[in-house]
Amino acid sequence: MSEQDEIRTVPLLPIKNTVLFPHLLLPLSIGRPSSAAAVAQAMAGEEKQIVIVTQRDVSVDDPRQKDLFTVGTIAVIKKMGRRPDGVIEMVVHGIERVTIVKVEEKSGALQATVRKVPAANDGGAEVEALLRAVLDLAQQAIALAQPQATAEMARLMLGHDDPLKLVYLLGSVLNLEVEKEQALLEASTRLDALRLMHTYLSHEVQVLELRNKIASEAETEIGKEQREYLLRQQMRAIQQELGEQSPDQAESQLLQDRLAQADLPDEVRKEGERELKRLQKLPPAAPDYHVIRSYLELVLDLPWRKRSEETIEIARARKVLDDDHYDLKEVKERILEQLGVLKMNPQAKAPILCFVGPPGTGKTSLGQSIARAMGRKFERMSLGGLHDEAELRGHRRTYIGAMPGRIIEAIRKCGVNNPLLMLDEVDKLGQDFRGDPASALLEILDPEQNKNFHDNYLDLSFDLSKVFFITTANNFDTIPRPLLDRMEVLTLSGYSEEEKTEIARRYLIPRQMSESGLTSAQFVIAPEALRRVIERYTREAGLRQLERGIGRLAHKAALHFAEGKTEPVAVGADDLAEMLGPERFFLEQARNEMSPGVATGLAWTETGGDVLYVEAALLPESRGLTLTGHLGEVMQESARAAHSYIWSHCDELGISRSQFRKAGVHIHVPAGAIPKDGPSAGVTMASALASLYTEHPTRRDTAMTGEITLTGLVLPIGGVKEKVLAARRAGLRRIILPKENQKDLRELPDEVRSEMEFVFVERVKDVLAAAIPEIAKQFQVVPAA
Amino acid sequence: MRDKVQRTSIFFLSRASDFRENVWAPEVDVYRRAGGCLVKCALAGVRPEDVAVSLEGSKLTICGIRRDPMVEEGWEHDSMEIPYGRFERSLTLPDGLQGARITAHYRDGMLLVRVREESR
Ligand SMILES: Nc1ncnc2c1ncn2[C@@H]1O[C@H](COP(=O)(O)OP(=O)(O)OP(=O)(O)O)[C@@H](O)[C@H]1O
Ligand SMILES: [Mg+2]
Repeated sequence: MSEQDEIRTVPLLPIKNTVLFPHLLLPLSIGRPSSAAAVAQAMAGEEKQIVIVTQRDVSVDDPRQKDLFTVGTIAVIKKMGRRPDGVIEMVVHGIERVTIVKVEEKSGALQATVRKVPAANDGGAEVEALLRAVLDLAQQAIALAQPQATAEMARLMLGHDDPLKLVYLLGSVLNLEVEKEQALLEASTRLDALRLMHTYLSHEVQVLELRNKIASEAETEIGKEQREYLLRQQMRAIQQELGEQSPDQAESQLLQDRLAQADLPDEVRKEGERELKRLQKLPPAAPDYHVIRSYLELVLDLPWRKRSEETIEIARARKVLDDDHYDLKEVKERILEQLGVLKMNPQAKAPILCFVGPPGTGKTSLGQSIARAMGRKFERMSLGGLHDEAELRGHRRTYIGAMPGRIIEAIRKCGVNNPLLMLDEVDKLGQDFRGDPASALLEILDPEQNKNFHDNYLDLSFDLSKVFFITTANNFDTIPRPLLDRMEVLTLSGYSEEEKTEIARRYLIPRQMSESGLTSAQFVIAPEALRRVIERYTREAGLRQLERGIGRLAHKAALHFAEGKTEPVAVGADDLAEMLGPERFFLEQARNEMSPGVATGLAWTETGGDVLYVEAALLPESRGLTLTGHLGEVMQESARAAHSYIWSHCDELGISRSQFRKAGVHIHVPAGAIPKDGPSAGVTMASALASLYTEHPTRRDTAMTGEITLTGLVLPIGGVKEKVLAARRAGLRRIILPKENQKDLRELPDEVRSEMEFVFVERVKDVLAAAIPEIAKQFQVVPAA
Repeated sequence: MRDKVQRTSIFFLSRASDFRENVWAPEVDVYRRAGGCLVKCALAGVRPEDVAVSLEGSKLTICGIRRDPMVEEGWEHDSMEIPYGRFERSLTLPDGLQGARITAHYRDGMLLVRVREESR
């Protein structure tokens, strides 16, 4: 190589605090205009070379030759980009050592004349020996400082055949003082470089050993935390020097800012700050890092003090409730009353309301409407199928994958601490619920206790007392007793055909139309068609299927307009088959013929009312009572009671004892695999048996319901409205009801009440007389109409 | 400066893995069929005269240089991601292809190197 070859002129970039070694990459941020100009000049060159020299003094902003070390490194710019603030970020790759012969200014940048000064390629026994010693020390240092990295380190160090590269590598990772790094770069032989590195490393190892000894002597948590903290600080300082802000740092900064600004109770702030400190000490790769971060995010997201301004204005609330829901007078009145109380005394403890009713009767939507009327946010969650108490209260954070419970999640989701929170399906709390369902929910619902609700994950108490809780259930009977005691039950029963028609006309159709973007000039459903949808396409107490059916009609119409057609859509009864498919239900017809031994009963199910037939048959030459048809315990008992009653009143009823002494009885309740239970079939069982033994049929147009006692009393039952509506759907117009249920007829729409005939009874005798005309004659009692 | 080794070893691995030579390696795809293979090398922007392909035994080497001629005078870099300068990529060919015939040509910025078994 000639002298000429080794001298050249390259743009010069002065850097502070660190040294670029040959063969290594270094990220840099460039802010100084003269440095930016040097980079631009380098980039314009074919090879993108730049010489990087470290400043002797970091405080000099506009360095001259005397402010720079005389040995630097030629580098190639590998990547570069500009940040929005104009700072250039780039990565340079060190190529080889140069000495700076001359520095001058050229078009706003420094330019250096440099000469290559490759380190002498010396070898020999001494270099060999020193190399081994250095490797040894390096491994010791790593083992002392970070034992888990030892293997990886060894692999990396042994991978380099050239001792000089090893020295440079160690030099760059040890973060020595700049002067020491520069001395390494200036070492002109491998031997010199190894000697220096040996000195540095021995010192490093000594310090580490000493410190480890001290640490193990005073092995306290604080000591460890302190050390980690120091490390963090230093790492940050380095990153700052390099102009880097790591994403995790930006993240913890963000959390810190949020924490500073958040409106938090003292205790919460303290906890938040403690966790933030822990976070800042952890490397982002640590498993705990994410746990703490999610926790902090939860703490910051929770509305500790944020609430929506409540606007209770009774007149407006009434209007909102009426706008959203048809009828439901009693429920609405009760809610308005409660709002009145809250308005007068905002501190009043709201009772926990529980809406009970078949699906689709408006429980959820009524809740939404109440929230709207009160100006609160609405959030709902289902308790159905909840298997673990921890789903409500969260898991302790020591669990892997721990999460807050659903209550806290719901609160976080609404972002205010006084939402209306609807807990659906309290009646479906898993039986296999781990822990005690009642007490977990009670703590949540009880205004005395929920002021300091404790979620295991959050581990701070959160005030739930401002939350307005409403629970819902389909079935009253399966709500856990202690819960039921604390709640005020409001019943939403099923709707009659007429009510459904009204609701559809006033609420469902307009709602579905506006959802599909239809105007009333474009879309009408003829009354006859609506009736047929209700009767033949749905079978329900509520409005789910109906709403869906109407929705489908509206979608079909919307499609019609979307296809460019313009003539309005009028849905007639005859169009339904095409638009909704074949009819799905046929009006349940009362049985045309009633043979002796059959009686018509009424059942209440979660989905509304149903007609059921009780059939009794003689089993000659056998004994006792056989029961089939998925009957529950309680229903079986009422069958036995009915049987005993009839037998003990044989003579009165004109039953010939001897005739039946040798026969058993089989009672069957058809209608599928639906499990049936409850005491209300007692009167029907008794009627069926009486009919069987007397061989006189029961009346075809009559349905009945009521519980019986052995002494022949008829006790009241529940679900009157649903049962009556079901009977009516089936074309039955006469119903035998317990006397005490007379008051429940209020719930029925007028047109239903006036259309039906009710027979109120107090004794089984009256039932039999009302159900079986022949027996009435025998008693010579005229049944009360 | 008490904590040097610990502090640095945290990002030792990331820095250390950056330790490499000043050459970059283009990406390649290798296709095969009976009697030959095709090596596709992403070398957009490299002038054909700046590439060399060689075969030594079963080792195929593609090397050269990607220059960055300025688009026009007066333009300044705002960012740079494309690797420039010397590149080199070696790969071992499947058995049976030692001493095979190679031809190379460019298509759409890809260098296509065909390696064919000597037909005898
Ligand atoms: N009285 C009513 N007036 C107007 N719309 C009603 C009325 N009752 C129910 N609806 C409508 O019927 C639909 C079904 O009601 P919702 O979803 O509230 O039923 P639900 O009682 O919560 O049922 P589930 O027990 O299955 O949760 C809703 O669109 C609701 O707005
Ligand atoms: Mg609901």
